[in-house]
Amino acid sequence: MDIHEYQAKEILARFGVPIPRGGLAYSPEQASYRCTEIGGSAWVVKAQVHTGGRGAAGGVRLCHSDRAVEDAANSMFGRRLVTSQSGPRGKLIYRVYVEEATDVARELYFGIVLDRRIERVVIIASAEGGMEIEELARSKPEVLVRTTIDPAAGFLEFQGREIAFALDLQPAQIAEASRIFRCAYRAFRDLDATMLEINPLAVTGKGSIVALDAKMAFDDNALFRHLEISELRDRSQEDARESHAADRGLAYVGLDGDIGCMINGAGLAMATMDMIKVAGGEPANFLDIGGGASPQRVLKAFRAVLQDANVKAMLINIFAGVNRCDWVAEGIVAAFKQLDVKVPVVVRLAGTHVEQGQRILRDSGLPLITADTLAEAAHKAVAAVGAKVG
Amino acid sequence: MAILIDEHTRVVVQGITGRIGRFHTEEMVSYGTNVVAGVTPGKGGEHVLGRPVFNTMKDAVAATGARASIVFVPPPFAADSIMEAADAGIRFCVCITDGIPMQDMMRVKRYMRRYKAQARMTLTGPNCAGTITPGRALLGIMPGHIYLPGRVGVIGRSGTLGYEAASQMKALGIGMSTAVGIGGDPVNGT
Repeated sequence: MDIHEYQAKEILARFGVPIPRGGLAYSPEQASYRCTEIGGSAWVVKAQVHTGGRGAAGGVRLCHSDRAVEDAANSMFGRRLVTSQSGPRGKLIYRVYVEEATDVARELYFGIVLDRRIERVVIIASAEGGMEIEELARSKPEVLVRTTIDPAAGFLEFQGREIAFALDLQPAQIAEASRIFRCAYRAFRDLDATMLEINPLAVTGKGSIVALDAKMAFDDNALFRHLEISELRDRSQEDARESHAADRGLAYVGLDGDIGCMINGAGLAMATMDMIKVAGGEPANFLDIGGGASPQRVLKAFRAVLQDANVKAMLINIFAGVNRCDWVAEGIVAAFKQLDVKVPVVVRLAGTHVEQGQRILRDSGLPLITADTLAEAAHKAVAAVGAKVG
Repeated sequence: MAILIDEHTRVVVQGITGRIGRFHTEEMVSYGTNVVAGVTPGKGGEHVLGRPVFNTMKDAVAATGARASIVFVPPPFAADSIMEAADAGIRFCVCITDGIPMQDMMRVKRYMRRYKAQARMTLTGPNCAGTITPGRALLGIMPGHIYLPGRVGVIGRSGTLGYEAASQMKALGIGMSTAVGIGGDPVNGT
């Protein structure tokens, strides 16, 4: 789960990381009022959206009067910000963060990620911040500093010092930088984050160190013990189809093809999509109904697939282990009763209770196309695209 | 050839009194797996399918000499159950549970290294379908009837794609010696 910059900053500040003074605004008037609250003579207005690359896309503006802040905010609200990372639809701006402008002498990079290969938390830092880390890793891999954290020992003081020295900080700044790194790590560890990025981590003209931008993502599987993080979720920033499905226990990813898919298990789902492509078709979505799916969940999955207007045929492929083919069949029958199914539906059932499942489908008299194997199902689905039903 | 389990391997089911644990214990027993006990804290003294339930893994292992276990414990407590198995001297543990926090699994991996290599538990999963020695023993949730006994060993991350492979192999008359599901999580077993 992703959160906004201002939320990540509030968390980091709570753990002891210095951040510039700032405040949130839901309207241009609030934005200009924040200037008075914050004080000073220059402010930055930052669109709060779940994507990177905001600066280049006009989502971050430096202003020198409260009037200019109001205008900048006014131009952002209600707009969809399209950046190099946001996808073509962009992300809706409905809140902005107003922050005192910082006198930046140097921009550093600091990030914490989980390295899947070594199954450890890794700190990545660089003396050159501001730009995207992927870009930095490509153009100047030699400036990246990496440190691995032992989960039993935690982030040790010497590791913090090593990073601070590698970032060319002054001797007087080493202790403070190392403290900030360890505070950030504690936030990452205590809140079950999967990613934390401070980019840039700025050194000011006076030599102090502050987090100018912050990004955090969290482990969905650990949200049960972090209610305060679940509350930061912002649905307006998510793909509506995907979050709708996720709320119903379904893993759904929208794609551009015309064959709607309903499958159990991510591995089988990917293999089925491959088979559709081999047969000459294009899948409209990835959809995993998960284990132990009830008829109700199958019905909801049907709804999720059919809400995509591009779907011209549907392929249901279930190899039941923890699932039950009879439940899936009941769900299919219920879907035909309750939804207006206008596209041809190809069904392949195998595994637990397959005979009962096939009997339910046969007895229903529904115009289903059945298949015994994966390859057969894929070919029939491709052939059925666009065929009239009923 | 049975590599990890056979019909003699003594198995403890962790989380045996839950709905899912109970159902799959029944399936495993009917396939021929030697399930000797279950563990659910606070339910020691009860019986499930005639198997005694213990409060702790140490009690279960001491009473039955079990060397393998399967975990059906809900995600918030599953990592702890895996470490309890390792500490009780279990040598092969299958974790079925899906949705364990990543940092919990990092802790499990670190914890397992406390033991000398020759005493260290082998872990598959989390989020896996288990391991089967076709025709002899099943330590998992896969439908046993789609596996033909034979000589090919199979390892896979995915559960249902593993079933697909098994049934296609069976259709071609190709049998398996052992099929191991290692699970699809970012931080997984041995």
